[in-house]
Amino acid sequence: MSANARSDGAARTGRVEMRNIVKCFPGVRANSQVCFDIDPGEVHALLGENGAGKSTLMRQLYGMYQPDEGEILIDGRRLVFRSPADAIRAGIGMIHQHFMLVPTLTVAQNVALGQPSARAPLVDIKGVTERIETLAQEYGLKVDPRAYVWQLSVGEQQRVEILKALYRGAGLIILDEPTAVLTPQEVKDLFETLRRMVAEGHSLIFISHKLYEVMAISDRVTVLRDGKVIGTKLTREVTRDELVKMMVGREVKEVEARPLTPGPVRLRIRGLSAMGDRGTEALKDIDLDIRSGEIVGLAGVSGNGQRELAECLAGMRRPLAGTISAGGRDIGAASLNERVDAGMAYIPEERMRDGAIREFSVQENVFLHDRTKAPFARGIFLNFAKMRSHAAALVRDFSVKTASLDTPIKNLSGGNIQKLIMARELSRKPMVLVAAQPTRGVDIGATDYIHQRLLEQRESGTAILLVSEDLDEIRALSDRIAVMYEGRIIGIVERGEASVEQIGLMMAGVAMSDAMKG
Amino acid sequence: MANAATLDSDNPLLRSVREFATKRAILLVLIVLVLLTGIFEPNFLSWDNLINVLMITSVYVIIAFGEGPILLTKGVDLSAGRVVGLTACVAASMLQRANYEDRIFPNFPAMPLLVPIAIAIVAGLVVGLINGSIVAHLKVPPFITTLGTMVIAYGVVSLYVDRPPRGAAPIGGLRDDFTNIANGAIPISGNLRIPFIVIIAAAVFVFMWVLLNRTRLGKNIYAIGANPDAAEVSGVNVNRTLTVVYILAGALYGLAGALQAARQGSATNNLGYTWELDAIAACVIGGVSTTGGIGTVGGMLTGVLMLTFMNNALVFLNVSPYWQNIFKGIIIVSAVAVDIRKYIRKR
Ligand SMILES: Nc1ncnc2c1ncn2[C@@H]1O[C@H](COP(=O)(O)OP(=O)(O)O)[C@@H](O)[C@H]1O
Ligand SMILES: [Mg+2]
Repeated sequence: MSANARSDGAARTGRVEMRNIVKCFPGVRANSQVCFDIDPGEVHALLGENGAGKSTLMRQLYGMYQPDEGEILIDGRRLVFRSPADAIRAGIGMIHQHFMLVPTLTVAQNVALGQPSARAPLVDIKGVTERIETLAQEYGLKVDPRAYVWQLSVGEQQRVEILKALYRGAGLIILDEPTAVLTPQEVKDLFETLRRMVAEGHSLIFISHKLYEVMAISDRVTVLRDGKVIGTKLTREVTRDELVKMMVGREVKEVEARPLTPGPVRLRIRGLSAMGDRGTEALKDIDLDIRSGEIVGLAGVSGNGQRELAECLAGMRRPLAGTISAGGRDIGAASLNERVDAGMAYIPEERMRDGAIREFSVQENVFLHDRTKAPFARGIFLNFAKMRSHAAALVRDFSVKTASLDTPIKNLSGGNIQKLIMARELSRKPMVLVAAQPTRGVDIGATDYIHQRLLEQRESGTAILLVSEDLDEIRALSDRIAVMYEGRIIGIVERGEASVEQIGLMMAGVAMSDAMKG
Repeated sequence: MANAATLDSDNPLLRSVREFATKRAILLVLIVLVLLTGIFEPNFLSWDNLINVLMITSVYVIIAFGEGPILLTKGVDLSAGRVVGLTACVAASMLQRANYEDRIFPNFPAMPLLVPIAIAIVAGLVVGLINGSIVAHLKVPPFITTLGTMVIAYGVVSLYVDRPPRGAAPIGGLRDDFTNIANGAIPISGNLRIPFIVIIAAAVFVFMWVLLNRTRLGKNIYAIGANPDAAEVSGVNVNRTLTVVYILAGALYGLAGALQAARQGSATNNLGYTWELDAIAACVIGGVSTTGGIGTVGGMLTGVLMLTFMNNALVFLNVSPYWQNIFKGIIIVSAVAVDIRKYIRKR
């Protein structure tokens, strides 16, 4: 038997305890006095809003960060993890929120990476492949060990991550928001795998901000808010509403869109095709109309063309074929500035890359596009007084929390950066707004605010395309939902017409007529 | 609607031809270059000339095999050329003929050939250890680290060969058994022979091929270049791997330095000046991506062959040597421009 083929069955890790963990980043106390423990064979959910400190806490358990204060114990013995290698040796595995795989290596090479080899110093690819196949069989994780990682879908990549942890003999596996990138069907499969892992004696830490998942899979749940533990409960003794309150700190009422009769078509897309980054066709023959006073939600599993469509509309990606017109004006080949003049506004997905310049101040970021327009410029001169009062007004109106107008934008929190970008884009009174993942990584307060603003904008007659991976957000705000699959719009449903499951089926590629039967 | 992608996949032959052409574009260019020059100047294809080019290639390719893995980790080593110069002088200084009047160490005892060569390799290795430790542990960017050690290595070698008041003079009069390593050959038949130095380079090639393709260290190198975070969380000891890569490079420079001294029959403190740029150019021409994680040993070899054959062909065609630089520059930029098509974000 080769050295890497551990005896099958239970790879157990004892009782793991994190005590009084404190971790600070410049300007943020990401964890303060956090206590967290997990028993063998238990599923312990870690629940909290974006930015609550969940990933930070788990990265300390996995040796990626060292705690400023506090200690980690396994079966009462104090351990210090200087690197992930130490944590792996202690039987801990982690599936990262953003996968950590090497795209240019194969699945087997990724799984074996950093691990002892039976044929050292050579890599025992055959042995590794066999072991992967056994594990895949045992836990229901279908994946080809010989495929290159760049060829895999997101769901497959996640399976590789899980196999990696199992291959390393992890008894305790941390899953950091594993469902965020999956379709509802893939979530079901994942849960099946997780149940098998528990049956084999693994302990799991399941991170999420989705309540129904936590209720479905966990034995205990710990809620984090602003870096602090709000409480730990047995899942069967707690209700959804209690958890929401713990998570958010107040009651949350759902945003509600008032019924409106949409006006004339403002954005018309016909036969739009475009290449993706990999050189394959990412958008195929898209037709879509958005009317004044209407929000169209663009749903889909990440990587099915939503980003490319948003980028085509924003003028950041050149279409191969097709037309885009805004208010009757053809903007398919228009420059960024021409689009702004045509009444288009864009809230980009990568807000720090495409929406702002990190080192520039708040005020400078407000004027990235409009610097040269009246009333802020006369000839070649800029009117700084006007610029300043405009920026101050935006910051006030959108309640952006910033020390001053001259603070570099990189010092603001994600939610405040997003509010500022939104303020800038909306201040132009756009006719068409493309909002890509407007609330991703944004705290619940700001999310609420952004949702209100989007609805206000809808009432004032803007045509809005809302691209989001958060199905709840799409369902709450959209008048119509367009589902994308492999670069096509596979179906468009009216508000309230389809259930989460039906939309989920369409996201997985089931034709609309079939999906709506179920 | 028929699009380009479906057309391609419809015709497997067309696709594999195209794949081969983009993947091995440089190899094709190299073959065409050699054949064309051969048609104009048949002597270019004589055994004598081909063997000569291979001998020139041998030293350069060993340097490229040091530089290449560093590029794979998203690093760069500017000290390569100067380390070759340093180690060449170290080896040469211990291998002067006993009866040579201008010996650098007049009373140095005669040593078995392998000892000074080993010392040269160790000298290179030490510089590599310094480079690697600074890059891995002090987190100084490789460009800056090796810029520093490049300058230092030149200072050290100049002091080493300095003989006041004459200043730095060439180290000549090298032992015949030493120069024979680089210039000797196993005769096969007629003009056909296999030079020892080519055998050494081939052995290094095999070693590097196994290292990068079959060992854990090799996969760690690719992983660190392509996604350092992934390597770290997989349990790869990133710092140690980086250090080893620089140490390995230094040792290879040491070997190259000793061989170059033997080929020339002498060494000066200026030997190796700007050779790191040739090594980087060769790797890049051979498809090693400067963004890390992509590149093969075969590609590095092809890149070096491309440069040496081109220089040689231009000499045969009686083109002014100044043109060589111009062609070299054009090849570097166009090779990368073609290569990067494979990865660029298509918008
Ligand atoms: N490497 C880092 N550097 C600086 N700040 C960080 C870093 N990682 C996380 N933070 C900050 O720490 C807080 C908690 O983040 P995180 O642990 O990622 O939250 P969660 O996973 O619950 O969404 C956030 O305010 C985030 O901006
Ligand atoms: Mg997180």
